[in-house]
Amino acid sequence: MIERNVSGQALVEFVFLLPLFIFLLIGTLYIYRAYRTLIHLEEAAQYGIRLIVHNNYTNYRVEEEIRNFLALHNITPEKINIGRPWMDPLSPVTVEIRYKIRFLGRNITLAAKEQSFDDSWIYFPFSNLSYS
Amino acid sequence: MEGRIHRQNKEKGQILIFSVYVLLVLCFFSILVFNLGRIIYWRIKVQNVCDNIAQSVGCIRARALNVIGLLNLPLGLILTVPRFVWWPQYQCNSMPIEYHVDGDFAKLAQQTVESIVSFQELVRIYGEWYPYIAAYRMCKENQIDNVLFLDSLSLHLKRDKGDIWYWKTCNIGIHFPPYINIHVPAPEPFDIIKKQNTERWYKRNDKEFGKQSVRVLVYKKLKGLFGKKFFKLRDDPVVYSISEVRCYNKSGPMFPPEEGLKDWIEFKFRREKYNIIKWDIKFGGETGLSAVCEYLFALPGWEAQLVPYNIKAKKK
Repeated sequence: MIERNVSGQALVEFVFLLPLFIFLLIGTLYIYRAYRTLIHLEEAAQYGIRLIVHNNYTNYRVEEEIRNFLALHNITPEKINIGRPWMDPLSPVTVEIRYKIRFLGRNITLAAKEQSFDDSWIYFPFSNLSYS
Repeated sequence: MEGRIHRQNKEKGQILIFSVYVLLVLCFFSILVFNLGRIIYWRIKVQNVCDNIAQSVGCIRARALNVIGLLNLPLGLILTVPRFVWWPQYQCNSMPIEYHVDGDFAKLAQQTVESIVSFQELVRIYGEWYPYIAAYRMCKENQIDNVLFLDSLSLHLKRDKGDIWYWKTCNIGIHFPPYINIHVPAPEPFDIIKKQNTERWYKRNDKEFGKQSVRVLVYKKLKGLFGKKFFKLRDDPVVYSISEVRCYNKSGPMFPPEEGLKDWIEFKFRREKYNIIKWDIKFGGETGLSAVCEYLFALPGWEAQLVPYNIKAKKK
């Protein structure tokens, strides 16, 4: 029976497994980053909705506030859509924020969308004091 | 030597069994991680949708209350002002409405009042029922299964009922300079519509009006999770979320109270010397002046705000 030399076997196995570990680590970090970004986007969309509902800001001002809010977290949104129906009691206000991240050479779009009805109506005379 | 070989043969394959165990554990953990990721994703989404629905319901209620209050204003004015104008001439409990000189005036006045009342009804239906449709639409858009309202969506308003008399006015005019036209109500026998126990302005329901908060429960069944058969789970796990919204008005309730109107008028104006309100007291709070005053004092109106949901506070 010839006894095999097994020294260095663990090293070789480790080298085989290392890319997998690195991939798992990077993947976890990316997923963490994506989730974190998504949560910030949701927060920003909620913030925008509150500014419209309670403070009656204009679309331009809301967009500016959202960009400032996201800049605190080093996020530059790709697109901000503000859907604001005028004199339509049956449709809600919508704020949608889109942000692109790159993962494995692919662009993945993260999107946060918030909706709410607006209680500051135009024909209600005193609540329509716009701060813009 | 033989013994050693024999021992080595016996140890063969033990790593296989170990790896099977480890694989099982790894599979279990990977399933757990996948499922947990999905559950967390949906938990965040369900909470957001729940907040949005609650906020929307509050805003719709606030809108409805504001508009109903706003319509109380012309209704109260129409039913109040002519009464004080004609009262020195006709000391009776009628409510003449001066609207136009010629034509079927009494009918027109009645139509005006009734159209405002029916428009108020429409807005009330919007405030009480549209939240269901809006919530359903928002759920469908966000792939949420269902939404439940844990509180009544009633606006807690009650229609005031009483008598209204619609009078025809006569035009007494001088049609050359200095062109004076005076409108006076026609004498009682001519063209008068008496409506008894008819619908007038909105009052607040004293017992219920304080309950202006709505709790919303949203849930979603997570279908197609990994390992459901493996772990022999009968039902899909359910992610649910609760939010509460409260309508509030910093300035006042905007609607006169249901009972104790006379006391309310005296209390409201004891310190402030509005003489005109004494006229309303003389009529026993029968004019729409209380509706007018309450609306003006309650500006800028109702708003809705999400509040933290507290189970303990509710149980008490």
